[in-house]
Amino acid sequence: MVLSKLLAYIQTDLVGSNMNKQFTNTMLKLPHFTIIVSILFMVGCRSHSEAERMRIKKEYDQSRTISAPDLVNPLSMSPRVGVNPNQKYQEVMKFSASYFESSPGRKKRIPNFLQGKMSEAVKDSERKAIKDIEIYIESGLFMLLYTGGGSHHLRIKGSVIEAQ
Amino acid sequence: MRIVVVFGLSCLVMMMQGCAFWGVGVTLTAQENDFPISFSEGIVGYNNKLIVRDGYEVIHHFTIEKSAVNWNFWHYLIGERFDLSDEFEEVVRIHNGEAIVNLKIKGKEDFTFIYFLSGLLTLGLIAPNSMNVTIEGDVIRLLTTTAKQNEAILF
Repeated sequence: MVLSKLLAYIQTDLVGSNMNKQFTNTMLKLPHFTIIVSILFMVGCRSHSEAERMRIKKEYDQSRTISAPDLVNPLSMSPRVGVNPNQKYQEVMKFSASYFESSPGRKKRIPNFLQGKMSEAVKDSERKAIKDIEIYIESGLFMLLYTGGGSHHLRIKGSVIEAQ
Repeated sequence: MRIVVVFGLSCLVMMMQGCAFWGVGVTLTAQENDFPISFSEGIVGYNNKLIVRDGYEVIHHFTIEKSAVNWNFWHYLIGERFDLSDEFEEVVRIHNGEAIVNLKIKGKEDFTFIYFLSGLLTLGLIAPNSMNVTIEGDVIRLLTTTAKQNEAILF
């Protein structure tokens, strides 16, 4: 009842008397079940695409974040990795890692790439740590082939040390 | 007509440079601090052993916001540099902490239509781009220190 009134309103007041008459009549003949199923299908598709969009956004945000909450070895931005000033450390090697991504949706992102690199550098011993970490973040935008994103470049430098 | 062609070609060249042109770069350091500022949850304690979550208490969770603007592709040569030593020093001193753990740094570009318009109207001479950097972390105090302090007060 409501649907037929709505279609009649669209037909007469919004679209015009004859322009959409055939379409409206066809719609009125369709069983309501089909219409409801179609609407539910559209809602379902919309929800799925929204969920996919949120997943991509989350993945994208993660790949732009430098953090290492799952690691236990100290990874310090300062020259100190411990609270004891008398602790002696020996420098094992210089550490450097970088991550570049571009155009979201066209390249597979690796959210924990830098965490993985830092983990690799210290994984063989609990006495290892990274100090003097310097971070470079670069962000750019594609204008010609703009697809809602751009490029992101992260770089980490530091020194791997081991407690003596 | 010639002006329109030159303007159009300039715009095309400018756009084709993409992220090399409309980009912003920031370097973050904190090499003046004399306490640990760790991305992980672990630091080395007074007994020179690794201390994780159960060895300290989190006193304060902090967030620092920084914003950087670059004007052109010069960000490749003279990108902005932030020394966060003072900010970290302040947050640790205020809360009487001993270290920072679970550090998280996130950069997000902040490109607006005004920047785009500025780049077009000045034929790329002034083509700014900005980035917001969010720094989060936990200020901690070692539990052994707290126990020692309590002991000193009691006896």
